[in-house]
Amino acid sequence: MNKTALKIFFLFSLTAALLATFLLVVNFMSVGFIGSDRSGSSPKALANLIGDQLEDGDYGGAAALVPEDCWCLLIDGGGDALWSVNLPADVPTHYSLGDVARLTRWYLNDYPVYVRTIDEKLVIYGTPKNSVGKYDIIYSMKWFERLPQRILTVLLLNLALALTLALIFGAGLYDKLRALMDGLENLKAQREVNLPERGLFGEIFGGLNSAAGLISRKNAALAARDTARSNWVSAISHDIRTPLSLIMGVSEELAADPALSPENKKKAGLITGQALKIRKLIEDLNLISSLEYDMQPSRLAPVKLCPLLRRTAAELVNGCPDFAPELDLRNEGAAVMGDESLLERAVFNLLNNSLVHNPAGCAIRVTEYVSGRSAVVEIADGGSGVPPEALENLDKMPRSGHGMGLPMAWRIVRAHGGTFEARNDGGLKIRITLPLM
Amino acid sequence: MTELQNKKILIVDDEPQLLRLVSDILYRRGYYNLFTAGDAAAALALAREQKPALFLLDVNLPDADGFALLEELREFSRAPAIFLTARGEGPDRVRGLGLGAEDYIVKPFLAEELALRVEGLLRRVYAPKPERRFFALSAAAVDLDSAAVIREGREVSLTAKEYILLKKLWENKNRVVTNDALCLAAWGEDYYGFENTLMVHIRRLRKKIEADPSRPEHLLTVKGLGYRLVVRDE
Repeated sequence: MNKTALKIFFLFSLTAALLATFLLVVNFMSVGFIGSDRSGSSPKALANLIGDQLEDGDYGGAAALVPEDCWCLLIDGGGDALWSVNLPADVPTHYSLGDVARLTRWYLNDYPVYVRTIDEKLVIYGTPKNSVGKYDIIYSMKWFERLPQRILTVLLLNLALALTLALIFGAGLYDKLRALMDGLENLKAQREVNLPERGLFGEIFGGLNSAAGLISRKNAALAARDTARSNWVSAISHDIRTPLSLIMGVSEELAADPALSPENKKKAGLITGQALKIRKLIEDLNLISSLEYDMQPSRLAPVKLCPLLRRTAAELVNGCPDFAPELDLRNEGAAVMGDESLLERAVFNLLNNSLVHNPAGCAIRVTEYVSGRSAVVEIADGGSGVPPEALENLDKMPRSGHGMGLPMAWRIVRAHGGTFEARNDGGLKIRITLPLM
Repeated sequence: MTELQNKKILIVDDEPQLLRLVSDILYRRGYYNLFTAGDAAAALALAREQKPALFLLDVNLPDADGFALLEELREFSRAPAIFLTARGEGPDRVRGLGLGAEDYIVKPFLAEELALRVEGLLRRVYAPKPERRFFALSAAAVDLDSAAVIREGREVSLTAKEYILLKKLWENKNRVVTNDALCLAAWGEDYYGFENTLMVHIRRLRKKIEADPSRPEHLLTVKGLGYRLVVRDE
């Protein structure tokens, strides 16, 4: 579950870092956009325009183009002024080659100037002092070649930095998420949840806490109901036993009464027989009920399977001499931890089922072996099988006392941590596995 | 037998009809010295006065439970006790508590079950000398008391293991006794691996008691399970 919290945390941090980098790129482009000076017509363009006019010999037109606070000067190849407009007093009218070299790029007496050549002549267009900043930017071609790489590196470094920052600041969030996930996990496992109801996640945690409380209260109520039902079943069966003792005793007495007609004796015998059936039902009911509400067998001890299988089969043979099960027990030493009487009950139920449901008799084969960490017991008969719905509803409480054999065996095996498969395949085939000791 | 039937039996149950039923069952089988009590106090008084030889106690009594009653009885009486319990889990509790009850019967029970348990317990406690354990087979007779087989007028003695095995089979005559039960009787808890030895002993036993050991009539193999000693009713 904490993996999920970690995943969320990382995804969150990664998203934050990507967003930060994306913002960086956008900002970069915005800087370029804002940085381009487009306040009015650029002085450089104006200088060009003035140059064009002068080239055409239209001195008047050129003069008209020069704004009031700016000036313009035309010098010839020898450095002497030929023509000027608004020329300030501190601007010289003769220029040496060195002067020209200095002024072309930078300033002329602190006036930012723009130049344009017309044949041998030079147009100098000056703007007011301190109106423009001029910077010289020179890059080698190598720099340009490596520019994409540099940008990429910068972006990657940015991404890494953003990620690191997101991770550092997200750590607190991660803790909360982990607590949240733990809480959810506990909620799912129906354990107690006790998260601090403070801070950013306070309300969520509070909600989880109360949901967990609700579930545990509900479970307690369910458990109480189950216990009550289980107790009720054992109380009822307890109460039935005494009157049933009387019914059985008296009917037996009647059956043995010499004064009774043979027919009535038979009837008395019938009562005894039915009372015995009720006794069996009560026993099954109690066992099922205790298996239902208390899935752990209480008395665990090492149980050797082979003697148990032989003993159970022998018990049935003693009750029904025609019964001849075929035993193929391959692993004599196989032992499991379990409740011996319950396991015996399960095997007895299964063998007895095959015996009772196939009155015409059928081959019954019991196979036992070890596979991996499990002991396997297979009980197969060559009889008529059982209805498919009986196989589908192995895990359900039977609705009547009939057909309890299979579900009870299923419960017992499952309570021992084993598996139980039953299928119809030329008779009922059952495969049980139980974890070896 | 009559001596055992003369033993005093105290039956304690809070259900008067059941009390009568149990008394009737035992009375009809020749037990005439029967005393009944409906609660623990009456049972204690009667027990002090009559000194019964056997207690039949219901676990549920109005003034105490049967286990507590037995504890009090044990202070002055060593007589064996059988619990009558109406609980499904009764056997476990009786067994688990080990409160000195010799046996238990879960309600409802058949008259025959009850009578057999009472007779068995009385016999075990008061008649240590059992009846003569002698039985006849088609080709020989077995006298377990002297661990011998009498065959054609000659006495052939049984070895210790043969005796144990034959005794075990005879005690469960006409029923399947598993290999495990036989080995357990002969070699104790650690019997694992003695199956082949068991077969050898069975073969020797057959030589001693069967007319034709290769075609046994009495000591029969039940394939995969164990053996059955077939003895016709004496």
